[in-house]
Parts: sequence; C-alpha cells; structure tokens
Amino acid sequence: MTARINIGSETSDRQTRGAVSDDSPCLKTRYKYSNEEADCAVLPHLAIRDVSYRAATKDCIVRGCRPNVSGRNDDWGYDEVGETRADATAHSDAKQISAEETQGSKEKTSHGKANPGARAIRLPSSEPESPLKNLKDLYAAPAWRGCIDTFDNWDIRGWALSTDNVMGSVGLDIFLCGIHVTSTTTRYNRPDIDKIVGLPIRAGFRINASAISTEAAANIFTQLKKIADTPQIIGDILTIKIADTDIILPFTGKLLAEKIEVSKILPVLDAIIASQVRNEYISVRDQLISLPVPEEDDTSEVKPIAFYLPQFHPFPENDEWWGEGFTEWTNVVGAKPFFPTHHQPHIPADFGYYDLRVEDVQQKQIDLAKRYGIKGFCYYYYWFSGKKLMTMPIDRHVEKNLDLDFCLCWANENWSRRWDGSESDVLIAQRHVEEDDVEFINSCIEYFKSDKYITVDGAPLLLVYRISLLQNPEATVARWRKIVKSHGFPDLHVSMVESFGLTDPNAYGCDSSCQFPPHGVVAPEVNHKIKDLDPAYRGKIYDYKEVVRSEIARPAAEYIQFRCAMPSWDNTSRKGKDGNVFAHSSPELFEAWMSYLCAQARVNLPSSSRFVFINAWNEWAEGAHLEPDAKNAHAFLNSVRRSLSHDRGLVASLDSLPDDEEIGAVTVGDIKSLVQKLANANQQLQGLIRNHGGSVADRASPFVAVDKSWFEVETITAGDRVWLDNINGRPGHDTKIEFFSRQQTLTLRGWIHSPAMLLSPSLPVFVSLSPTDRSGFSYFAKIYDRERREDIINSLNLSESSVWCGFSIKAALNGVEPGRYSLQFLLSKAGDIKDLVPVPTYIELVVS
Amino acid sequence: MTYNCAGWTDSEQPLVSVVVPIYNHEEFLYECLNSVHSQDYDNIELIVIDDSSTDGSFAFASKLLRTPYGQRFNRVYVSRNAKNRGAHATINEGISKAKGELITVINSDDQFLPGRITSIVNAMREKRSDVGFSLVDVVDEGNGTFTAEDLAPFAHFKIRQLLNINRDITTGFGLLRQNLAVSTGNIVFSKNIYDEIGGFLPLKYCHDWDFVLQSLFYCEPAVVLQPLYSYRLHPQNSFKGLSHMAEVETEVVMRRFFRRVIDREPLNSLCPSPSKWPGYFETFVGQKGMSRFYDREMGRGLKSWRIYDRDVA
Repeated sequence: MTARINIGSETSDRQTRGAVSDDSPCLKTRYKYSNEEADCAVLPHLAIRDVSYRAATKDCIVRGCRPNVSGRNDDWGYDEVGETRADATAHSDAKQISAEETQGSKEKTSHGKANPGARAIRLPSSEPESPLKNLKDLYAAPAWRGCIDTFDNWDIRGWALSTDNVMGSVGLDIFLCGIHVTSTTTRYNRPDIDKIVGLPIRAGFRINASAISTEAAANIFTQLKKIADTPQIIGDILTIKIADTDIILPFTGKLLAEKIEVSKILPVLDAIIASQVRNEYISVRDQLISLPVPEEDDTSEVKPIAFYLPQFHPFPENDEWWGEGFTEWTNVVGAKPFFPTHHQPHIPADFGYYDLRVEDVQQKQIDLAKRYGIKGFCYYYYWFSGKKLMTMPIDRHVEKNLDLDFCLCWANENWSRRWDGSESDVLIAQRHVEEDDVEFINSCIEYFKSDKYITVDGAPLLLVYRISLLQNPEATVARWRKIVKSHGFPDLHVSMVESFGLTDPNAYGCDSSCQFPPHGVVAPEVNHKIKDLDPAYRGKIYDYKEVVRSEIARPAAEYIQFRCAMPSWDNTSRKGKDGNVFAHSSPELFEAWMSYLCAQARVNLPSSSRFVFINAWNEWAEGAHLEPDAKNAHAFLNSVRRSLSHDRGLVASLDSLPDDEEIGAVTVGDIKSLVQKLANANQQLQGLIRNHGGSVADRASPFVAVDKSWFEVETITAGDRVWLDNINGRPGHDTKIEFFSRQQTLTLRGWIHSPAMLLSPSLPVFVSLSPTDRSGFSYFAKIYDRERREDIINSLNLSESSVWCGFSIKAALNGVEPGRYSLQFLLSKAGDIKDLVPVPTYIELVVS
Repeated sequence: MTYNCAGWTDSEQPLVSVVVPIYNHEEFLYECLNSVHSQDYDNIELIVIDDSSTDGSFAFASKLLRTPYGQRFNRVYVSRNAKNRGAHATINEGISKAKGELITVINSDDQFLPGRITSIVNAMREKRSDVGFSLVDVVDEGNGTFTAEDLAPFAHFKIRQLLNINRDITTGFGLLRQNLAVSTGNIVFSKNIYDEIGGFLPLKYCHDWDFVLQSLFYCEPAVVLQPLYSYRLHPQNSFKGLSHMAEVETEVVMRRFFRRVIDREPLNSLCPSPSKWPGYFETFVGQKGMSRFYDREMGRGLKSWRIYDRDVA
C-alpha cells in the first residue's frame, strides 16, 4: 500500500518551552535545542519528492513535530537506562507527533491489529489537538508516532514507535536522494518520549555517515552535486520510511525551515568515497597506468630475441624421472657458492619461483620483456618423434595470441639425465628418421600460422639446436621448405644454432646460423686465479670479461649469422662441483657486448632480419637469465634497453670505423675523442650533482616582462617594507643601490613587513623591477620559497597572519634590459585575483 | 604507424575543429559559442556534444546553430549523449566526429579571446609543432561566493603562468613540474598527434596534463605568451569534490610519462627524458620529489621492497 504524507499544522507552545529555560537553568546548557525556534510552528504542506512515492494512491497524514526538549541532545543515543534524566520539565515541554484519524479514508486499519503499518490517514480539518495528548492517547490513530529531529552533517536522529507495542523496536529504512542507504531500528533512549508515555521504550534512532556505503556515497554525491548551488530543503535529501510500510517520518518544523547548504555536506561523502579510493589506490592506479600506449614499430630496428625455456612447471615425465613436482627450481634453489664472490644461489625476484601453469606469469613475462625492448621469445620446442613435452606455454601463446612475437628452436637432441644431450642415460630419445622429420615440420605449421610468429620476409624463422644430428640435414631442410611452402608461406628460414662446434649453415642447407654462447666462445680458464676456491670443485671457471672481449673482436661471418650474447652463465646449480662458471659477469659488460652486437646487426644484416639473440630469458639453472633476480634486479634488462638506444648505436658504429677515416674535414678519431670527452665531462658533472646529496638548488628563474595592463597595483601602505637580510650574500638592510650585470643572478633572502596583509604561502608574492624612467611594464619574478618566521612575529608582536613573511629567491637578470629599476615586492590580496599590493624595499637596482 | 611531425603545416589554412563538450551551462553557452564565432580564423568547424545536460543547453545550441549564425562555420555537428558520460568521454567522442587537421576543445562555460586560433596556429606553424597553448585569463564571477582559499590558486593567474613557463629550461620541463597548459580547453593539437597519443585518459582532473605530457614525446609545444583563453570561475564549479582522486591521478600521469620516455627514445629532441637530458633529467625528477615514481619505472624498486638485495634497491 502506498501513501502520501502531509505534515499537518501545529501550533507552537512557547510558554511551555519558556518554562524549561527559566525553571531549569541547567538544561539550558545541556539541552542543545533549548533556545531554538518553535518546533511546532505551522508546518508547510510537504510534497514528498521521492519519485517512488509519486504514485501515491492514499493520503496519509502524519502530523508531527520534534519534542523540543529531547533530553541531552548530544548524547541521548548512548544514555544508560538508569541515567535517564527526563524530569517534569521535560515532560511538560515535550511534544510529539500527532496523527489524526483519516476522515473518510477507504482503508482504515484499526489499532492493535497484526499489521498496523499501512494506515491511511488524512489531515484533520482544523483544530489540531495537543500533540502531548496524542502521544498520551495511544489509542488515537494513527498506529505510528515518530519524527526526524536532527540532521547535522549526516548525523540523523529522531524517534519512532508503534502504538500497538510501544516497547517493540521499529524498523526504519533510510533513503538519501531516493537511494536506500541503510536500515536501522529504534534502540536509543529518549527520556522525553519515555516520560510522556511513561515507559522505558527506547524510541530513539540514530544514523550517521558511516552507514553510507561507498557506492551509495558516490551516487548520492553525484545527485547532490547537481543541486549543490542552491540551498535545499531536507525533504529533498532525506526520507525515512517505517519498514514494510509506506509511512514516511515527518521532520520537525525547525528542520523543515532550515535550508541545507549542500556544498557543506558534500565533504563527508567525499571522504567516504576517498577512503574507498585509498583502499583501491593500487588497483585503480595500475589499471590506469597500464592503459595501452601505441607502439611505433620501426621494422628496420634491431630486434632482440631471448631464448625461453618452457619448463618451470611439473609434468608427468619429469615427475617420473626426477620425482613428484620436479621443476628447474628444484636445482636452482639448491645451488651453493664455491668461492666467496660466486653468485649462487640465484633468487628470482619479480616473478618468484613461478609455475608456468599460471597463465598470468607468462603475460607478466611478456609485459616485462616488451618494456625493455625485447621483441620476441624463442621457445625451445621439445619434440621427440611425435612426442611433445612442455609445449603448454607455446600453445597458450598461440591460443591467447599473447602480445609478443615468438619463434621456435627445435631442441632436437636426446633428453638425458645429464642435461647435455649425451647418449648416456637417455630419458627420451630422438630418432631423426625421415618420417619423423616430416612429422616434425607438420607439427610446426600450427605455430607458424600464428600472426605472432617471427618471419624473415614472410618465411617462418625456425632454429634447430643440433642440425648435425639430422640424418641428412640438407635433404631434410629442402623437404621442410617444400612442406612449409605448401601451406602458403613463401619459404622457410632455417637457422642453425652454432652449438657443438657447428659453424657453416650453408653446409647443412640452412639460411643462417645463430650463435649460442657459451658454445663457441673463447675464454681462458681462470680457476687458479680464484681466491678461496672450494677444493672439492672440479668444474671450470672462465672469465666473462674475456668472453665479451673476444666476442667483440670476432670478425664478421661470411654467412648470415645472428649474433647472441649471454648475461651470465653458471650451471653449478645443476651439476654442483662439476658445473662450469663464467665469473665476473656484470650488467655493464653485458651491455657493452649487446651494444656491439646491435651495431653489428645494423651493419651486417638486412633490415628484415636484424635479430640479436640472448641466451636466455630464463635459463635459471644455467645462471643465464634476463629475468630479475634479487642481486641484479632489472639491471640486465636495462642493459638490453640501453644497448638498443640510438646513442649507443651511434657510438658503436663510430667505434667500428677506423680512426683515420675522414668525415668532411675531420677524422673519425677526432669525433671519437670529442664524444669521449663529453661523456667523461657529463659523468663527472653527474657525480658532482650526486655528491651534493640532492641539495642542488633549482636553477634561477628569470625576470620576465609583464604588461602593466595585466595587473592593478594598489597604493603603498605606510610602514610596510621588505627587509632584505641579504642580497647576493651581503647584508642588505642598509643598501640603497645595487649594481648588477645581466649575467648575474639576483639572490634575495629576507622578510616582508606588512601587518595588515595575510601572508599565506598559497597567495603568490612577486619581486618586481620597475624602470624608474619608463612605464608600461615591469619585470616580475615569482617567489617559490617561502619561510615561516616565528622569530619575526614574536619579536615584533605581529599576528599569526604574518608568520609566512620569510622568503628567498634566486632570479636571473639575463632577460632584463639595462637600466635603473626600483625593487619592490608585490603581494596578492586574499579573496582577490586581480589587485597587487606593493611593498617597497627602498632599493634601486642598476642593471648593466 | 609513422609519426609525421607537424604534417598539418602542408595546408595553407588547415581546418580547425572546435569541440564543445556541454554540460549544464546554458547561461554561459552563448558567450562560449560566440567567442568561437567571432574568431578571425576562417576555416573552423564546430562540434557540439551535449553530455546529457539537464538544462536547456542542447536545445539552445541546436536552435542557434540552425539559424544563419551557424553558417559562419565550415561545418556544424551537434549531438547529445543519451546519458551522462563524463568530460573525457565526451571530448573523445567529439574529436572522433571532427574532420579538422587541428583540433581544439572549449569548455562550455569558457571563452576564446579574440585572435586565439590565428595566434596559436601561427605559433605552432613557426615551431613546427603539433601542440600549442596560451596563457589563461581567469575571470571571477563568483560574486563573493568564493572563499579566499578558493581564490588563492587563481590569483594573478596569467602572470604566474607566464613566470612558471619561464621558470624551467624548456617548456617540457615546466610541464613536467606542473600543468602549464591549465585546461583541456587551452590546448590546440593536431588530429595526428591525438591519434598517436590515443586520446584523453579517463581521468577526472589530469587528463589534459597527461595529454600534453604524452605529446612531449613527439614534439615540443608552441606557447603563445598572451592570454587567449578566458576561464570563468563561477559558483557552479566551486565545489570540485572527489579531490582525493588527484593523488592517484598524479601518480598515473607521472608514471605513464616516465614509462613512455624510458621505454623508448622520444622523437622530440628536447623531451625531458633520460636519453635526451642524461643526468639533468634525473636531477630534476629528484628535485621535484618524483624519484620514487621514476625509480619504479626504471625497474629499480623501492627502498621498502624485499625482493631485491638491499644494495640493489
């Protein structure tokens, strides 16, 4: 049943209320509302604004007002029962809602019935009865009494009771701007009501802003903001319904009469929303930051491709051979250092000991790789005579079309217990018969068809780890090409990995080769140079520095060769004391190596295949990983990025030219030495800056000419003055005139004496130079550094409004025409955006 | 996608699309539209998108522009969102309808000052830039409703803006320090760079700041040091609300910018970035107190992080 409620008229009872004030002086202070205007003044007819009530079919009239002594208004909600203090005065003063029996209502519901809520009542013709009597006469209609008497910055209070059972709590639904915010029940002491009814009925209710959910707060905020510019009546904002009815609680006359300044109640909602934003800060931020940025791909750029090991998840074969749950991590975590500077174990950082069954990991790897300029992963493809292992990440890459290019490297050796492809202790074998090789290439076609698959002029790029293991490599590759072409590709690009001493790809019918350090690198063993080497260690230690040196010195190949660098290498985690180590690797050395390879790629490779390979993205058990670990974080990734930079490329290309080559009138050697000098100087300067511990001051901001029409200057207040503690390091108090060259910087520190002005740091202060002989413009510089000067206001007895009178400024004079200027300060006035108040320094500046 | 800086300069007088997102500004709308109408630049199209105003804004705009008044423009497009979608969405929508090589937005309660489009387009042409802006005149029409605290940020606005623009070594560094362009309405940009940047971010306050910072990757903006945009302070924009978003948005804007200039070498040779200003850029970022954002984007991690060894973080 729906009902519309009108607030009936009510007469005030000033006399009674007056008695409260007079008879109970103590109440005057304790009762917040004891001085308020008549609560029971004639209440205006109130149309209910809430849309949901527009369809009212019944008139329901609750005439009511707030008892104007509501008993310790600030804390009644928490009154202990025993503390109830309502006294005779309160009693005599209390008023309550009254409701008149509807005249001619079609749907009367009498009191005492099971469902008294839906009473339809109508305004009585005239002669309002005493509300007191009405509250006393609980047999009179309607079945409900109640009123909202406080709305103070979302603190909502009032009372309600059912005449059927005054002791029962009443359920209430609270609506703000038509949005259901919360439900509550009457449960707080209302001594005033108790006194009248004569029972401890706890008729009070109370809701505050904390009941508003963030979602509701946001909605209400939006609604209120639209009407924030005009004061609103309470009924447009707040509605309280008695639960399961359409009875709406009326407001007191006072509440109705007060207009609500919406802008004053918005901050509380804002704070509620803010608390959610704070809780959501990280996800909101990450969502926004990671919005896609368009990529401008320069196809002729160098493309770094990182070998990717798709292990790092358990699968049945490994469970069988190595034990349940075995992954590469099992080896990685067990690594031990064999000498003091031996970096072991490698502890993965950003992705932890990840499991590739988790899809998110692969996505995160791709995001990270892309950020550092890696253009592709080269997945090891474990295909053994029709048996695929560990292809799950590759299949996912294709299926989800993950946003990074990739290619395959067929790991075509036996899988042995020793991880080296040897014939002993084979776990799963390759057969390399003709049928197998055909089946192999057929299995690749589905990957080649991915639009993320890396091609060379349309030909899918396929690496073969040990081409020499094929029975007849040349014929096999030719057969592969035919099959691949039959699937619509222009060709197949087979790149032979330079493993196990393989060098010439043409001998095997391949298109190119790909380096694979540490295979094929030249470096001396340095075991004897390692201090405190564990005597049990039986492996070989090589110097990474030497590897980089020899790789940079390596002459260009006579075939198409993709170069490859490794960030570091160490397989002691797999092989313990028998493992080999490349010691002294560092991001800097790796960067030098990569930079050189990138430069070489630009020179030696056609633009469609400027690949530089990296061994590896994640060979954790071989100590070869770009993925961040605890020691190096993103340093190796940064090396990749820097090696791709234009400057790096430039320097590298320069390096590859002989010093005596002439460019115009200068030689390459001259340019090299100039670049070197600049780089050295910059490095030294940066060192100096860092050594200042961040105390480097901002550069001086220049004086800028400002047109006179842009501001209005008031007259100088007598007695106001700027006191300069120093001008360019010299005491300034007695200075009358200062001479400067335009190359100089004017440095001022001091304080402003202008007691009538508010010197808040939020109000700008300018230093101005006004030509003494011209007009039309002045030079302005803004003061960015303001200082609190308690010392000044204390010693001069100035008010707190002057506490921000201190300032310091460094201003460049290079834009100032030579001439004679008076130096003055210009203050902004609070509450005004146009006028400037000048404060003189009584100093003249001569700029030459 | 290859970016062709200032490709629009091939046209003698490129079409400028003025996008007017409207939301409940009926009383200011005529002055706004008229300030575009009376620009001395001929080749202008007007794109008016009403973001579901509850007042008569839409009716006013569509009726006015149907009169001969609308013929001043090369083309007029007026439409209305079925529901309120917010400023950035409305602006992006308007731009998607624009046919001009150059685009500018005007808030429906603001005004262009005379000669604005001509001056800025000329400055952009001279500098071969895809982005331009001017000083902003702030007009207080609060009739005393604003508190001194409300007004403080607007005191002597154009003078401060002028000095702030001159404060740093390039406009780009100034923009990194603060949003010198002030308002979406104060930016003129090419459709080309807008497409490169990918539009305005769904931010409440900083979408314009984000836009100009992202544009720095491509080119240095042209600035006209004259007030050519009039920003109206009126009681309707008194309570901004939701200010807590500002902190999130600042971090988003800064980190997106850092990420952009770290991950790739900017095309703008003056762009504040580690590659174009080695050393200086880091010092500036440090002074501005933004190192923590920069470090994160550089992959250095934070002091409090435990995933890296102590000497790394």
